[in-house]
Amino acid sequence: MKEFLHSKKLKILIVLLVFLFAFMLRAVWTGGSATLLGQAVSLVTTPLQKASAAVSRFVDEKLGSHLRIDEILAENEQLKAENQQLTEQLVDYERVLLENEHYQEFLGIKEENPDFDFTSAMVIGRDPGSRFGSFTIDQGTLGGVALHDPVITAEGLVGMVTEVGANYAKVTTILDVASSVGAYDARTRDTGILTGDVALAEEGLCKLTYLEKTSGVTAGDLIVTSGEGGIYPKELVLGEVLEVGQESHGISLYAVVRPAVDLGQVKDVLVITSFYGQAGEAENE
Amino acid sequence: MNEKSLRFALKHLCYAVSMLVLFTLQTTPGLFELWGVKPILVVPFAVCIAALEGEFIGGLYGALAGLLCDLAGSWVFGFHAILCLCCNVAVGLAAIYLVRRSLGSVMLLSLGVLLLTQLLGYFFHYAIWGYEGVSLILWRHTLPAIAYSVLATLPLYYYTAWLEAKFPQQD
Repeated sequence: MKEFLHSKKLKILIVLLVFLFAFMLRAVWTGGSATLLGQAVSLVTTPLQKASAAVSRFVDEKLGSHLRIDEILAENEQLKAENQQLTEQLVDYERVLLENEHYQEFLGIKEENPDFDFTSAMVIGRDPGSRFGSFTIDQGTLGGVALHDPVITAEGLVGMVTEVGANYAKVTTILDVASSVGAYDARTRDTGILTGDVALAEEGLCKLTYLEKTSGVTAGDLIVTSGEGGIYPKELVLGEVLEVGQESHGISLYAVVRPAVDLGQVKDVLVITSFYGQAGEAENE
Repeated sequence: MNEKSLRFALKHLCYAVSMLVLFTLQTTPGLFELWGVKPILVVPFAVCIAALEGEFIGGLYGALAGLLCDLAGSWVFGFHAILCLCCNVAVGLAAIYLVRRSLGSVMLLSLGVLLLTQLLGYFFHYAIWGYEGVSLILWRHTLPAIAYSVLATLPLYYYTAWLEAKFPQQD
């Protein structure tokens, strides 16, 4: 032991420790920008992750149905129940029609928003330490992705880029407790903040908070982004209200929202690299 | 380059490549996932290397494993690298001076390192911010992930021992 304490090896390890500490301080200082060391390591790891994700997806698609027969049977039962539920909902024709119009609006979002610039990306990594479905994509600054860019799929909003390197970016989903998205009810126009909740995130749900007590939000309503703050574009679909309750402090209401996107299973995403009204856009022009 | 140096270089090439492969496997979406829990593979592998190779080599591979963990997750870059470096130096020294190098002791050391790194990660990333119901993360994700990763130490220990025996440093 004494030998080690006076050895050159210990000095090398201490120097390495100091370097790592310096990189950590820089990472804290610069926020979501990847450090030089991180970028260097990712040059090797990102192509490997990309290849592995592609192989995993291929195997999953080709063999998955054979390997998961129990899961498919259960899913079939679930779909039957959902079908029954949807049939019952058809009775309320006017409401369904209204929701349908909202979906139509979303599907045509690109046509309606020619200012959107997209970069498509593939999910290449999910960290074992991730608790809220965050993931890594195969596009970074070289692909035009920047910090805080919104990430979507055809179904709706996924989250936001919270760290970006040259050839990768990390995405924090709307399930994360640190996420806050300005939102409103597409039917009643009541506004609130969509945020993550530890207990709800376990079931893949999130929470719409700060709803006024007089709010008319009800189960089945569609929640979309408000565009406030310029981080997310306006009217991106967030999800559907499952239930409404009163906050423990009694001042406001909250709604439990099922995200439109299955955040745990998402494989391909679109990163909105530019849109009208984006924060900082005016300064850039 | 003499034969001893060649064996040394080949062994460390194998270690480094294995580390990258394990990192790729641990981050591949859906792979090894059980009830929403995925194992951490690079940290137990670095612990196995530290136990078999000693504190210096162990410390270096600990730093590499930590860097990879930081790269994959939404942690502050360097957090795991610093922790794993220090832990692996301690593991290397413990393997030389305190415990016998066996599967049981390596699994215990792996448990210790995983507990320390993951619980500190949980504390700084979640608990300290006081989110409502945050202990759910500890019970449903952090502790099961630690248990799953300790189990993964078993094959990794035999693999590391096999690699070490394949490239002996004594003639």
